Amino acid sequence: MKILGIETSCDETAVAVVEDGKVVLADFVYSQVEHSEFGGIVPEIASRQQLRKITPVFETCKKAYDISPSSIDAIAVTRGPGLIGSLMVGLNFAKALSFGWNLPLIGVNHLEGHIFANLLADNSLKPPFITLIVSGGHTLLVRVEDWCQYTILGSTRDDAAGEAFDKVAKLLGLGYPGGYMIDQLAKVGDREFHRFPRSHFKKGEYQFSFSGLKTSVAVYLRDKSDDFRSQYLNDICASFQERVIDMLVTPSLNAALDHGIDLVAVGGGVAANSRLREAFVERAAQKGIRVLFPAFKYCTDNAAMIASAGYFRLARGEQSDHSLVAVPYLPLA
Amino acid sequence: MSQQSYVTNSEAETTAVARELAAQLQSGDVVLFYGSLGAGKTAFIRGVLEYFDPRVEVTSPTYTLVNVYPTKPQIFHFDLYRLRDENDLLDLGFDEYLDSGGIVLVEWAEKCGRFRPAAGYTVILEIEGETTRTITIGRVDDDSPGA
Repeated sequence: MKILGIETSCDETAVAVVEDGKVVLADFVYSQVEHSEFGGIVPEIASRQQLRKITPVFETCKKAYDISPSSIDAIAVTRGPGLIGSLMVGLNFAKALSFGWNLPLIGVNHLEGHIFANLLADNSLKPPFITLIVSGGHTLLVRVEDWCQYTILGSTRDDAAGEAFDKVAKLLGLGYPGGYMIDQLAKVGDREFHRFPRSHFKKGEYQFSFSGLKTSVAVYLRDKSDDFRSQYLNDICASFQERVIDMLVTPSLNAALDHGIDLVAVGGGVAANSRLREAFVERAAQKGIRVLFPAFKYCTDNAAMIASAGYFRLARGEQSDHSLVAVPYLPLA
Repeated sequence: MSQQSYVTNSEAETTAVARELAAQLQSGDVVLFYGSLGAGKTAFIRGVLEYFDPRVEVTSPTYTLVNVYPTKPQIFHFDLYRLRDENDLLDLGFDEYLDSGGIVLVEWAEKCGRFRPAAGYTVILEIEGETTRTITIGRVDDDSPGA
């Protein structure tokens, strides 16, 4: 069964065709972030850009796979969470296609997509497993009971991990995207250079908090000269990054151990961080746990993961009607 | 314009000041927040929400741009950090939130530019040390003709 996926929840406009939830036949993403010329922080407010890009992106995807009423079986679209204006562009595009072509429509949760990105990396993936979704807007620990059945184990109390990366990059005067810049600089930095404080939670609580860490970096840098900052930039990046990673890995592995599950699948933009991948796999192996990451291009927002999730929702007999609405704060469970 | 300053030595003290301000807020009020990264803007707003409904979880709206909390009156928590300029506020529908009868809290209010509301509260947070902050709360009344 071939599913057309459409994703426009934030800064990416994406269209893909995926067969049986696992095999990507076509996949195209237009990112406003890559085209940001501001060297800083600011992807444009997305909805107007989404509106401009959705048709060209769809047409580009059509060149790789001849999308037509007879060549696909259903249309899956992100209905939340995300920016309302951006979500509506993809949703209305999907509804129009569904109506015009008389194909089933299926609304998908964006966060659920990040879980299915792991299935695209490893077709043998099967629940139950633990998932860490970690991006600019989300930090969420989930127990995947079965496909499309989730129990939330924990989430961030304040900032998302990716947001901490971006803001600390800004404090350090680095460009955008901040997470990537810090990852690169940290590769040659000393992770033990400075011990930034970590947030503590009770045992059995799988919570995250990155606001305090961000603040401690801001306070730490206050009285440091420009010379000091540039001389030790790599070390500061490495020390900060190591702390974030520890705060992501520890609760994830604890959750897996406490739940007797030996597989953790990571998703979202921060899953592309090279040191996170390395440290996660290393520490998990010590506990007999396997860690799975999506391919780099499926860490960030894409439509293949939405098509994959849509396939499994459809397989459960679910279908949306044309009254489907975008929900900016749609919870995963 | 009236103004009052506080020095707080912990996040708990900051949220206590926030609850004090929250007790004065009414439907239609706007609070503009100024302060560098890590100064405690979101922490302050967590204190405001504690006053209205302690069950509400306040997370950073940097990526979502606006959080809507199910309080009475409704509270709209904006974070303009990612905005390119004031014109992006129009895309967000900022003016409609201002007229919605809720309470509007705005982080990174300097990005409001010419769309800065004429009347309302301002909260300026400054980092003095590891956990020490100076908080200056001001109030501007709209005394323009016809207001």
